[in-house]
Amino acid sequence: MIGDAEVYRKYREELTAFARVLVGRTDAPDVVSTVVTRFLASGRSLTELREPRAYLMRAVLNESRSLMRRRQDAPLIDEAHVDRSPDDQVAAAVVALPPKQRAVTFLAYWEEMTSNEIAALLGMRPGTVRRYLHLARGKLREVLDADE
Amino acid sequence: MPTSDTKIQDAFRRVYGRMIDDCPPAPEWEDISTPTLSAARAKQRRAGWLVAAGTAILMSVAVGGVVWLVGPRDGGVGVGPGTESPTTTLPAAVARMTVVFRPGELSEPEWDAFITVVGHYPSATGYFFADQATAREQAASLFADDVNALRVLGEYPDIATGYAQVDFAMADDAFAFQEQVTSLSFVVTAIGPNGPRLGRGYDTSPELSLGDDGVRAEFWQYAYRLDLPPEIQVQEAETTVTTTAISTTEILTPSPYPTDDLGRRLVLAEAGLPVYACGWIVFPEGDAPDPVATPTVAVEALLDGAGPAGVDQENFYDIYDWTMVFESPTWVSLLGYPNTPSRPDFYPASYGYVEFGRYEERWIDVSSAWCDPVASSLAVPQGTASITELWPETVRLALTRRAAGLRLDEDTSVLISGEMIGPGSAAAEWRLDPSVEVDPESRQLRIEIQETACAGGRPPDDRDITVLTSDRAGALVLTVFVAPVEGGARCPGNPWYPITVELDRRVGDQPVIDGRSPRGNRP
Repeated sequence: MIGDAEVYRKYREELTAFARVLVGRTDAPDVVSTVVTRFLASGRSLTELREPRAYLMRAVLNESRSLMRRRQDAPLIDEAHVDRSPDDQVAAAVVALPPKQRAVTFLAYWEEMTSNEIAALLGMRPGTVRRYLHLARGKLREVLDADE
Repeated sequence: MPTSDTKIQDAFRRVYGRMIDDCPPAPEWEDISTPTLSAARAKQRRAGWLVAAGTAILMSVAVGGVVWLVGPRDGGVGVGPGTESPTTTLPAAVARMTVVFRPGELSEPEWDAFITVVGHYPSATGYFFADQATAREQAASLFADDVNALRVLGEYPDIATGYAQVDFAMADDAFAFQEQVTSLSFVVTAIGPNGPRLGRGYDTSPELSLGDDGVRAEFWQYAYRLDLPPEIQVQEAETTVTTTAISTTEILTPSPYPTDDLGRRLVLAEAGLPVYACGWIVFPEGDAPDPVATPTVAVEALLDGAGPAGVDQENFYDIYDWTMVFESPTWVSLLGYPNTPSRPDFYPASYGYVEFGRYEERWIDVSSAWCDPVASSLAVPQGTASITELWPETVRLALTRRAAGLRLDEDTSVLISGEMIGPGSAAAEWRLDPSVEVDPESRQLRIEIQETACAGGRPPDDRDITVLTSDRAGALVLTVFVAPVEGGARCPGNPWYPITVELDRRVGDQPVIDGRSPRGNRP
């Protein structure tokens, strides 16, 4: 019988990577911990979820945004790390994207998911996903155009 | 020629690829067993952390040097599964640690002693405040009235994630001791809602169930980090377990759906500070929030013009009946009562809330989510604290910062000597205005302040600035608070801003120090 631990282990790496993109490396494990422990603290089991991956990914996104809210919208990504990279301008632009745009671009371009898949995963309309992708690409285009 | 989409997508991949390369390890799953606390095993650990369990509380402290004891977040010695944990549910536990200093050492101002208490549990509720109240009392008895002896470190102020620290910093303040201090006791008490649980695991043990007495199982985890110079002796002390006021703690469970019950109470003790909240919205005392009597903005207009909800649910605005419970020119809070018989299988919450902030002539949904209504009454003396945030699993207080100096949530409301500073006001850094020469005969002091909170780089022209003055061992202490930017702000760094402080005395030749720091920086 599959238990909470198995469900969690199945998705934890993906969740942590997702959180890493959203809140930075320092807070990513805590975001994942918070999401899972809060859920379990409610007395429910991960095995009850029909779509555990979708639930957890959404919860990580929400918790990340909540974390940003608590920190008064301060940039959470460890930008110092980003700044040391050769593509610092591009990286800084990605880091500066709102969390939802970062989330959908990560899923689209790194995870190579379609807009429909992302929409289903994050509970958004496909059109909303495409709009976020469009906005995010526009911001990155500004940076890349300026470089050339 | 504009950069192609392909090139842009490649750029995204490069950035995310680097981030993933740098991804921290995922938290481990750890099922917690509940073995009997073993004195032998505890001693073997020799780590310097302390666990209270039942009537047997063991203490292990390292002597001298810097001892890093616990901190799952810090990669330190973790208190993990299979380690010390109570076998039975206890109403409360108090662990006492005594650090003994040699006579005279506390009169030396050149060293610091830090006792850091780290509690780790994501749903621990309220315990920290009892700790601090106790610590404050002790500090008050040990120190002169004007010592910033205790403060919360900014690094882990987040009780929502279960991390909290008390940084017991003395250092330069040692000069203010009024009597020879030879021992310092620090008492902490912790209670969490989800059973005996230690470390960073996910407790799936049966102890999660609600106890007969209405108190869900508690947990205890104490860790002390002692940063002590080698010459300081740390004495292992007998510890005790007592049941204190916290025994009446009732941990809230999510409200059943739907419910009109706003009367659930989190009671830490007999004293009352009843506060009601749902999500980020904190209501005044009462059974339920009163609607704004004469709103100037229509709720429907707000919701229609707000664009997509902050919550990722398509019809979030539609499944509640919204009531405006707060309105200001730049901020509106709505509480949503559920209007549909079904609810998304998402969060175990019943109500909804939305907060709108005014940005560039538009109302923006800055925060919205499901929420559980909670009410709370906390065991702190009336008038000494205000609740700034209240969730089922989290309570944040701004406690009176008396002369002994205690503050929670470094940037929340701070009360000093009974004086209320506006909610969210944060202490600002200050320096003497370099362009003005100090006149010892003047009753005015020209200083420049710089906000430490995020203010979008904007000067505090139209915000409240409060300067509190006090005395500390012959020095004049100025603590400057600045009201926050409404609606949140980014943090590009804030400008120095000149203000003139009116004093009740002439400047004279006394030292003037910054009250933000327990050590008292001398600008």
